[in-house]
Amino acid sequence: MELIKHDPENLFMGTKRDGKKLTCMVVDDVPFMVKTLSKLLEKFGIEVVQTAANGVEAVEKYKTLKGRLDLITCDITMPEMDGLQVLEKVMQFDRTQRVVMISALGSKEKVKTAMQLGAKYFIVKPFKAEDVFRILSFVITKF
Amino acid sequence: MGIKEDITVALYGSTKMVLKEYVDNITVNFGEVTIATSQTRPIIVKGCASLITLIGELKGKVLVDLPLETALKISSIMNDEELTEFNDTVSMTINELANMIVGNAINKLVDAGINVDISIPSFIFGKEIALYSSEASDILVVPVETSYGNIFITISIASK
Ligand SMILES: [Mg+2]
Repeated sequence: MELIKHDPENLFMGTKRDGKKLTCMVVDDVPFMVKTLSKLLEKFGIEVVQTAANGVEAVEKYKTLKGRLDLITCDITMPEMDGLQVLEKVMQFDRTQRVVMISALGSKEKVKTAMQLGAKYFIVKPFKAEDVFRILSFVITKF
Repeated sequence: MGIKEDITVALYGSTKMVLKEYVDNITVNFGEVTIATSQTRPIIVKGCASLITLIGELKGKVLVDLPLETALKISSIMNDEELTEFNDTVSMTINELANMIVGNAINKLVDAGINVDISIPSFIFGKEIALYSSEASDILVVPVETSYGNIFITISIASK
């Protein structure tokens, strides 16, 4: 994918070549986190087309959306099925799916495990808007 | 420095960082830490508490406990909606607050070579609930004084 606009000054991610917004599914079990992150993504010009509050829900929703998601942000610590298991399942469907893990657990070892499983990047909570923007821009343009 | 001091110092830093990130204009100061070693002494819950278990080389528990009034104030700000009574939103918010505080403290320890992980938080709601540990533990209570009321972080580390 190539971006036609990219203006980091305004933290605007740009649109796709067809003029449409980038799409994202936000996975996190905590409502305020979904809210905070969704607001941030919308500010970047990314459309949050789906949210999921646990891993099982995330995989179910992914199945109906796969191929149409430019990005997934996925929390790790969740009930039912954790984020790393979600990542594994998503990778079984599509190794190229951009999944960015978001977790309070961000030791080097955790990050390494997630990247080995196929995550494209790792964001440690709490996060700063600029950091999320920088990381997502990188992931969108690089992968 | 021993492992108990390491985790206490790490928790100081992560508590301040997490609260400042999500609660605008909050002031955070730490009161005097009280320490007790006992097999029988329970941890007393004050209101809305999130309990996280430490797994691995470092065995123990961390309890992040807020009186209801403080929990409501902080949860309202974090959710950008007025919460006047206890509900699921409050418990999930306090659990996530604890998850970020303890998670970030643990990251530093893991990077320093200590093998430790944390459980999913469990929520406890009620006053004067006594939590007993089945093993001898060193219990540290760290009072966190904020502009929205006090938060009490209790660290219970199994003494070998
Ligand atoms: Mg979570």
